[in-house]
Formats: sequence, C-alpha cells, structure tokens
Amino acid sequence: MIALATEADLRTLGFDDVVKATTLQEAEALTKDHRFDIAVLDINLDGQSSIDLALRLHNEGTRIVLATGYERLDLPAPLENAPVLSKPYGRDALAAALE
Amino acid sequence: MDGSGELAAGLVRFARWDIVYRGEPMHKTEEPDLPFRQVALDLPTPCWISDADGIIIWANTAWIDYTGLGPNDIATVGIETLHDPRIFPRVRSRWEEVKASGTAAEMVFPLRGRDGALRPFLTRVAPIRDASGTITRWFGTNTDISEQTAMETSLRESRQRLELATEAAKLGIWDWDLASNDFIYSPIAREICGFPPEGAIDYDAVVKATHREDYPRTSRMAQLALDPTVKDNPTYVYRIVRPDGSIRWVQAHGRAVFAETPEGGMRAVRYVGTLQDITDHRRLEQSVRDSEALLRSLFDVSELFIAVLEVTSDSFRYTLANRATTRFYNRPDGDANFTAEEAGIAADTIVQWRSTLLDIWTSGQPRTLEYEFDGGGGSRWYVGTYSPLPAGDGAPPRLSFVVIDVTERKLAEEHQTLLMREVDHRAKNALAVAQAIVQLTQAEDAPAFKKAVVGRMAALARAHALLASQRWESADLRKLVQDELAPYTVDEGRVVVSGQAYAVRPAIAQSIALVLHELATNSAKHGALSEPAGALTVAWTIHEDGGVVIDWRERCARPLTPPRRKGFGFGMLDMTISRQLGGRWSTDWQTDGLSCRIELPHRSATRRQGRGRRASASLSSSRTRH
Repeated sequence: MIALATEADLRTLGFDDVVKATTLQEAEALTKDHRFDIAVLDINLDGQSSIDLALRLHNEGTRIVLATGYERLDLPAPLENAPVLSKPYGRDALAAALE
Repeated sequence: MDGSGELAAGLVRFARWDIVYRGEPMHKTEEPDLPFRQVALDLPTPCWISDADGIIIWANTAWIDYTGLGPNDIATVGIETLHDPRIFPRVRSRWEEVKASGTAAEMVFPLRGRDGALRPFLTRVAPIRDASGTITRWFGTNTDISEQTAMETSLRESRQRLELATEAAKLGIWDWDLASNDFIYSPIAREICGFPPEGAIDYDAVVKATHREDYPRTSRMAQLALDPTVKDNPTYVYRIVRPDGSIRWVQAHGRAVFAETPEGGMRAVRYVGTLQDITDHRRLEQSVRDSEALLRSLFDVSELFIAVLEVTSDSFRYTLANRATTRFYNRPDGDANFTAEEAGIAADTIVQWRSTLLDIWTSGQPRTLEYEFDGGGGSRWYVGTYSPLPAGDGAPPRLSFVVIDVTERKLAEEHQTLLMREVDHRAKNALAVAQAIVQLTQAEDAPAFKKAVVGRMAALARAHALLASQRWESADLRKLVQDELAPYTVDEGRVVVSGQAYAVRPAIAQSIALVLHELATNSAKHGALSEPAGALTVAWTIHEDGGVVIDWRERCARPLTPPRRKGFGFGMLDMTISRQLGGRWSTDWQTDGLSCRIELPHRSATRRQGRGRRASASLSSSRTRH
C-alpha cells in the first residue's frame, strides 16, 4: 500500500519509469536485469532486511533512498550518507530525499 | 612451750658462760654454768638469750649460722637488719607487750638469713627470773616454718585450683563408698541432679535420678568400672531426671578405688567420679547440627551454583560444590572436590579465570561478574558473585561463589527491547499505510471521500486487531473474511464462508482486508447485501504451490444490471491485487449478481521456514553482548 502511494508520488514528481517490488525476492529479480538510477528501499521487508540489496545497488552506482519505521538504524559505512525517510513520509519528504 | 620454759629456768643457774664460735669468744657473761651448755650450743634450732630489755647477749651456733652475724655484729649492725622492714614495727610492739606482760609467748614473723632471704619463723620467748622473781633474761627459739608454710600454701592453692576448676567447668564430684553404700555429692553435683543442698543421698535416690532408659547402660558401666579384672573408666553420657521431672544431659566419668581383700584378692571399695551438665551444650550442638543440616539441604537443593574454589599454581580446583554445580560439570553427586580440568573447562578459559580469581582474591572484596560460559551444554549467560575467603597460614587463595543462570532473563530482556522497537515500527508503518490509503483514495466529492477513507481505515484496523491477536505471525483468511462481513451476517445462512485454513502473511493481511472491504461495500450498496433476500458465498481453494483462489459469488432476488462504469472501489481492488499483491482478478456481472475471482500467488501465505530464521537471528544477536 505504501509502495503504491510512493509509486504514485514518484510519477507525480516526474519519474516516468517506476517499477515496484513488494518483496525482497521480487526486488532482487528486478535489479538483476535492469539498471536503476534511484532505488527507494524499505529496510525491513516483512522481516527481511534489504540492506544487502541496498549495498549491492549502491556499488553498482544506483542512488539509494532508505525508508524505515525504526527509530535507530545501524547502517554499514557505504550507506551512512544515504537519505533516510522516516515513516510515515509524505511527497515533500520524498522529493527532498531525491534532490 | 613448756619444755623451753624448763630449759630457760635451767639456764639461770649458769654463772659464767663463754660462747665460742669458730674458736672466737662471742661474749663473756656472769651466767651460772650450764650442764647441757654444749647441747644448747649444738641445738639445730636457732636459740638465744637476751637481757631484760631484749638485747641479745648469747646465741647458739644454729642462730649464728642462719643470720650470719658475728660476735660483735649484733651491737653494731642492730637487730633490725634481721627483720622485714614492713613487719618490724608490728614485731617490736608485740615484743614490748610481751616484755610488759612478763609471760612466755610465741609469734610468727620472717627473719633474714645470711643469704639475704626472708623465711617465716615461729619465735617462742620465755622470761628468766632471779631468786626474787625479777626478769633478768629472756630465752628465745626461732623455728624455721617455711616448709610447713609452703605446704600449707600449696595445699590451699591446690584446693583453690580444684574448686576453681570444678566451679568453672561446673564439674560435680561424687564419691560412692561401696562398703557403707553412702554417697557424697559436691554442691555442684547436687545441683545438677536436683538433690537438696544438704542431707544424705542414698542408693535409691541415685537410681531414681537416672533416666529409666539410660539406667541399664549406666549400671553396666558401673559394673565394668568396679570389676577388678576390668577396671574400666570410660566417659559416658546419660540423662538425669530431676525430682521436678526436668531432664538434664550429663557426662560422667568415674574411677573405682580398689583394696586388697583378706583373701588376697582385689575389691572395689569406692567409686569416685565427676559429673558435668552438658544439656545446654547438647542443645547448642543439636541446633548447630539442625542449622547445618538446613543449610546443607538449601545448599544442595539450590538451583544456584554454589561452590568454593581454590587457586592452585597453574589452575584452580573446586573444593566444595553443591549438587547444581556438580551436575553442571557432570560430576557424580558426592564428588565435591575436583580440578578445573576434571570439570572439562577449556585450557585457555582456565588461564583466564585463574587470573580473574587471583585478582578478586588479592583485592579482598567480593565481585559480581556477568559472563558467557559454555559448561559443555552450550553457551549460556551467568551472573556470579565471587567472594575471597580468609587465608590461613600459607594456605592457597580460596574464594566462594554463588552463580545464577540468567540466560532466560537476558533473552527476555532482549526480546522486550526488540518488541518495543517493533511496536514503534508497526505504529509508524500503520500511519504510513493510512497515509497511503488517503493518498490513493479517489472520490467524486468530499462526503464520498470521507466515507471511503473511514471505511478503509476501519478495515485496516480490523486486520491489525486480527494480526495482533495472532501475535503478528499470520492472519487466518477465514477470520479476515468473517471480520469484513460481520456487519452483514446478522441473519443466519445469508452469508456462507468456506475454505481450508490459510495463514496469510502479516505484510499483506491488511491489503486483503481492504480488497474484501471494497467488495463488501460494493455489495452493500449495489449487490446482494443491499437487499434482505440476497445471499453471498465466499469460498476459497488452496493451490498446490501455496497460492489461493477466492471466489466471491453474490445471489440477488431481483435482476441486476451491471454498472455502467467501475466504482472507485474497483480501482483500489485492481491496484491492490494486481499491482501490490501480484495476483489476478476478474469480475463477471450476471443477472443474479456479481461473481468475482481473485487469485493470489504462493507468497501470500506465511513462510514457515522464515520464522525459524528470524528466531535464530534474535538468538545470535543476544550472543554479542558482554
């Protein structure tokens, strides 16, 4: 549901090619074949961490925006400077993170 | 006394008398000759003659030998030197009294010998009178009584010591005269037995004072002691029953005194011994034993690990360990003494622990430590207090410890922390979902928008409640359906729900709830639920791969015309099913109502193996804390 809203927001913000994945497996499958400019990732996907995926995408040159409902995050060094969206986040916060 | 008086009378008759000491004349006097002059001179008892005033004018060899005073010394040195200066004033005044009374007298005072030592002497004096009865001389003897005094003193001291000892030890003394069958009991012995302080004690009284159960034994002891062929003298403990009925525990020790019989054999004539009241001692002993037993049982029953450690030159050992500890190390229950190596502790751990133990012992202060330890049954967490024990002379350092296994508590604490983070996370997630719904809801006007949002929020809240009741592990599909249809199932049989149990993944439970909500809302507005006679069947089948197919079938009493355009609810349906859940859906508007088929992929179900992975992850994170 949040992904749907974020997808809609991204389109509103002018991103045409938006692909959405609802599970980690889906996201991994998608990123295997396509290069993305930006990845907006919820850190906890139904109990699974997306940090490893974020690291891989970061190393491949994709800009990473992280979203989480957790207060405190222990991020690995390469992701320390990635923008973190604290849920619930609105379109403005998303736009700011993508600037 | 009388004898010396006669002797003194005889002395009067001597006219002139030379005293010779080592060939020197000591004194010349006009005394009459003495028939036994030589006898007096050789008398072993020091003796002397003084003039009427008491100035010594003659002394025998024994006197001169003892005092060491020569012939002319008495006049020059003075008689005072022979006396103890502390006592001399009393001696002098007594001497004045005697002279005044003119009678024979005796007194005891010390006299100094030639070696300078003062010894007690019994001095006897008697006056010598001339024919007219006037006292012209005094005759005196000095008898050394130091040995006698010493014996008296020693006897007195010995008796005092005995009294002191029996008094201090509360030791009663008894003496049984076997010939007369009389008993002598010391005051303490009487007190112990409850006998009156005065009066005779007979055999019956003694038997009566002995506890009935103990009598056969004490009687046997006495027989053995009195038997001249055995002469046993053991110490034995038995009970005394006092006349008032109270019972005292006593310890007795007796010894028989034997005498020869006229026939030439031996026979006990007396049985003498001691008696000590040990009731309080026994009571104390018993209470110590009781408390020891209590502590021992607590020690052994305790789930805590309690032990005493001794640090050795390169390791450490257990010198005392309770059952929990011995079991922990797989040692037999009775074995409370074993080395760290025998306990199966790893060599590097032993080195590390030895150093910590020594450090604590050196500090002299107890220390509480929290640590992870693998005693063989896997790694667990412990909190232990280690206290140095006082060191004996040259004894190795020893420490006691009490350790508790806190693994469960630690896991619970970590679980709680995790839970708090999770609650926070879920709350934010719920808000984000709510935000998304508001954002994704489209409506013709504000009231319709409001109604749709409120309805969808309610659906979210119901799914949330269901997940919470199932500990956020899964949501039962049947419950999800029933919850959404609850407002319309007032009439029995109007709504039929059927299908096998299907555990929906928590992450998508809310989405499925929303889908069901949209269908129910639509039905209540346009379909079967909008009329009293309408019926609804929701049935699902589980696909082999774990996916599920849900059939929504409405039956209306009045014929329906399919809507010209899809309601905004169907927009939400499409978005949720095909785009979020990755499923498929199709609708079929028939004249008697809507048919809707929803196919959800296999990942809609909970991942059983996933739960196990999460559990192990939380366990491994608990290991990293120190």
